[in-house]
Amino acid sequence: MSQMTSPIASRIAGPITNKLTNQAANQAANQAANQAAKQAVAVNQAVNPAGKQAVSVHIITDHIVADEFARPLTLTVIGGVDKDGNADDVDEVEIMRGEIIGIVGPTGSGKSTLIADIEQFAVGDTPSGRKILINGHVPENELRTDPRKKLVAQLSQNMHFLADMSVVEFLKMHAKSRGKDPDLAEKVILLANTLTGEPINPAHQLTILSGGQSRALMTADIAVISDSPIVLIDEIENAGIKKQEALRLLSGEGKIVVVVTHDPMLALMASRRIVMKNGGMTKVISTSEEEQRVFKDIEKVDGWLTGLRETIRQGEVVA
Amino acid sequence: MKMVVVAGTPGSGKTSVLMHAVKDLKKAELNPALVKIDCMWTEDDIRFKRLGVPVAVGLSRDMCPDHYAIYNVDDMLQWAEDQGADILLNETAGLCLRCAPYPDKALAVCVIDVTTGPNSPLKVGPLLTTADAAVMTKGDLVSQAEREVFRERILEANSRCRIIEANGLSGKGSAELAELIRSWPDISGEMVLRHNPPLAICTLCTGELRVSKERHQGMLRHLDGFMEYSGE
Ligand SMILES: Nc1nc2c(ncn2[C@@H]2O[C@H](COP(=O)(O)OP(=O)(O)OP(=O)(O)O)[C@@H](O)[C@H]2O)c(=O)[nH]1
Ligand SMILES: Nc1ncnc2c1ncn2[C@@H]1O[C@H](COP(=O)(O)OP(=O)(O)OP(=O)(O)O)[C@@H](O)[C@H]1O
Ligand SMILES: [Mg+2]
Ligand SMILES: [Mg+2]
Repeated sequence: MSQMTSPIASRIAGPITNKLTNQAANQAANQAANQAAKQAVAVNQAVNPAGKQAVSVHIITDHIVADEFARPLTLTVIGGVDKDGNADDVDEVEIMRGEIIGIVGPTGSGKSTLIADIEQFAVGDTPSGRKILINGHVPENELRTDPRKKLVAQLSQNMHFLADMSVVEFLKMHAKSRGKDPDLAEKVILLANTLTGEPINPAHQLTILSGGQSRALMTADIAVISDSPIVLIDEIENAGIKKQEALRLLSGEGKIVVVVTHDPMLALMASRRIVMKNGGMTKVISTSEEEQRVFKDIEKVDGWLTGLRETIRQGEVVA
Repeated sequence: MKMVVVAGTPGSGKTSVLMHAVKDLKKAELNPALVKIDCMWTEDDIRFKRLGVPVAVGLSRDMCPDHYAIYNVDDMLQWAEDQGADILLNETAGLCLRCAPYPDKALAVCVIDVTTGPNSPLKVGPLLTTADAAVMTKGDLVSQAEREVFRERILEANSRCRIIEANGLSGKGSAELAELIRSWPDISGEMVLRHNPPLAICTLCTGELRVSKERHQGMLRHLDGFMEYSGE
């Protein structure tokens, strides 16, 4: 029964890419996939005798637990309250696999708080009172906590290492905690070094890495070791690393990517963006075709700025 | 009556986490009473009192704080009962990492601060190895990878314990802890400690102040690990 759910939806959701292609088609496909997922659940319930509905729901979640290649299909944020206890204007946001969604808003408006709600699959137990559903259901506890089954990889705003270990030792330990091959550590370092200026030495202590190096290392760690179907990113643009490249690494095929950003280019790379104010979700804006055109312009400007930045960083003179 | 012993090194976040858990317990219409045990001084009672639940403080002064907590278990339980409580929450001083003040039938909770680094789960000894639940705090200050490595280290020290990722500031994880407390069986019959306390009494316990080696008696351990008995 459960096997039915993912193939139907994945066939439809599969071709959705993370790029800014055709917005309308993207949304239509999202809806179709959503419908298919809902139908599959409905079929599940129809086939089972009425009393066994709860069981069929259980099978779907079990399926996610059991199959490490299974991807969750939808992530739903059910609105809660803002800092003053007023209800979120947005009562529900449904995010499909393959979508990059932005979170924008002034400093202190609750962007990181929303990300934290998603990371811990809040069930009304955080100050915001929001609830997070996976495939329309409250996820099982072990999906929230056991790193081997974790659905969420997170690149947080705080990025100081406190562990007194060498870089390679730490990565091996992390791979072990995620049930992955410890030899992946080397791969993480190689990848991280494509994002930073000064390369990271595997034998160095973690605690001596610079802010940018730490972010680069954790970006590569998420791409290689954590590799979860939901990726949460908090302000990657401030890390002094190649932000677009980092985002591309983090948003593998079919993942749900949630990006907190103040950066216009990253915001417009997303197909939608949630606008935060005073701790609440005030609206969801879909990236319009006009904005996609603007994105192309920003991309050019950004390329130019990145070039200038590199020139200056390398101690050369801007021509 | 249920009993919960919350242990953990000073400043690890015991009070912060408990404050949130108490709110959740009250929501579930339970009646917790709190006893904070410390050595010299504490202000935790002032914080706990804000929650409107019965609070008592025990200062062990010249006695070992863990022994003091254990010695006074019956009195604490009686006090909690007099307050009309159905759960006794006992926050320990959590100083000595050699023993653990966990009676077998109480829920034993070890609060452990992620920012102490991934070697700390191996250092805290019976406080963690004999606990039913390990509550990880301050995860907001490190990366997800570091939290996961820390978690792995906790499991190396105690593979049977339930790990709760909590945050003393936001209240994350407190609902899970409250639910664990709610589902824990009541205490009954005679309770025994989960772990052997350190070897007997030492000369410092009996008031010896002089440092030099020949002044000390009892079971003694040298820097190189050699152990001997000196005395009558
Ligand atoms: N960032 C952060 N700080 C925390 C967290 N939990 C507790 N703190 C802070 O850590 C400090 C110590 O917390 P307490 O709850 O008093 O610790 P305790 O274990 O009860 O301390 P003692 O009773 O003195 O042993 C306080 O300043 C808290 O605000 C957390 O999850 N994250
Ligand atoms: N819904 C909410 N209910 C209660 N408190 C909230 C809510 N949302 C945010 N807060 C509080 O507001 C403060 C700022 O929120 P947060 O750190 O998420 O902002 P931010 O948008 O990420 O800011 P920055 O751009 O500076 O990173 C935090 O202390 C947080 O606990
Ligand atoms: Mg933030
Ligand atoms: Mg305290």
